[in-house]
Amino acid sequence: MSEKKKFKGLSDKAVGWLFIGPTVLLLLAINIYPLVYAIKMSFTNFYANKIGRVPEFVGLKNYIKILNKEAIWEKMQVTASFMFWTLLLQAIIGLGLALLLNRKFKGNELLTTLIVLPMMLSPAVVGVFWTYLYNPQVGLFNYVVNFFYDFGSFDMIGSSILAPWSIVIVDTWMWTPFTMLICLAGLRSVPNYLYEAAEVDRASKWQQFIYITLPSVLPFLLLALLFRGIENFKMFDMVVELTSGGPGSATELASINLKREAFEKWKTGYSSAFAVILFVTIFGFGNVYVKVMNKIKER
Amino acid sequence: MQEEKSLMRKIFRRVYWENLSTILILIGVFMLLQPFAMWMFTYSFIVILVGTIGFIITSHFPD
Repeated sequence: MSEKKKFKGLSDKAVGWLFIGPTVLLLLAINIYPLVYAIKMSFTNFYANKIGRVPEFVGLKNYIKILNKEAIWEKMQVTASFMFWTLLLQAIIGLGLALLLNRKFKGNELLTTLIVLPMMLSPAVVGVFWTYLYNPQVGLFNYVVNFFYDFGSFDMIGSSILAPWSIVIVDTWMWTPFTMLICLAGLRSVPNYLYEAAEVDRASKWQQFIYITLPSVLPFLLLALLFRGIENFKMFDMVVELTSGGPGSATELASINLKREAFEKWKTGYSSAFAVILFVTIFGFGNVYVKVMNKIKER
Repeated sequence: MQEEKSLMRKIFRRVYWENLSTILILIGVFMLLQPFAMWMFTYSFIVILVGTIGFIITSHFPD
């Protein structure tokens, strides 16, 4: 008996902790610590480029300054406009493509693979090659647009009116496949007998779409849009590669402004407060996202 | 005592408070991103913060 006790190994709980321990430590070091440090910095007037200067505690001054600054409000509006148009276009085109690919036809799989391709690319790569596509002299985009209607040479990225649309087009091109895939999953989960019953009741195709397809796919679409909303709220890399926030500040999203404040003006304390505001917003959004996801699971 | 407990359970039902927090978050996000009034932008963060903290707390309430 005592021999048996001697060789008793670790308990299940201890083994569990042994497995998750390194991950927890890593998370604490690279996620939690910087977050707590940034929150602490947001209450100071710290400048990362002024070495040796002791940061002073300024309380909520940075937060008050940011939330009363019209320039930041404008950046939020640019972000909101970008979010609105990308989400709208992605919802319409994504749902349309999902409905198309839900039908059985020759080459369905190949077409799905081709449509999904942009999503696999790195946003930085997408930004770089769309810069070439938008080039007013040699870009393919100008050529294609002028093929349908002769606008002459125009600069998508250089014009303050067209530049916001240029980033909307690229984001839509890149992320519509994501919305499409989620909607397709929703469409494939609709049982066929519902359509058969509707046909027996002589429901038209339009009525079938309104009363069966749309209510079934709507939670999935909402989930995709919520996810894309969170991603687009913190969009940075693709837009930086494409326009760098320009011309002027026409495409300067909140995250790009944050980077400028932190690493060009070196206002570390101020930009930490801005980062905390964006973080809390995304965190709140994330909670809503999880809630919607749980509701979908319950269905 | 039992009645008091059931009353508390009725008041602190997760579904109501969680929905309220969600609504607060959504209102806060709208206030942050809207182009209509600067004062809404100014108070947006506090609304989101209250909603988010509320959500974290109320998600631990009983069903």
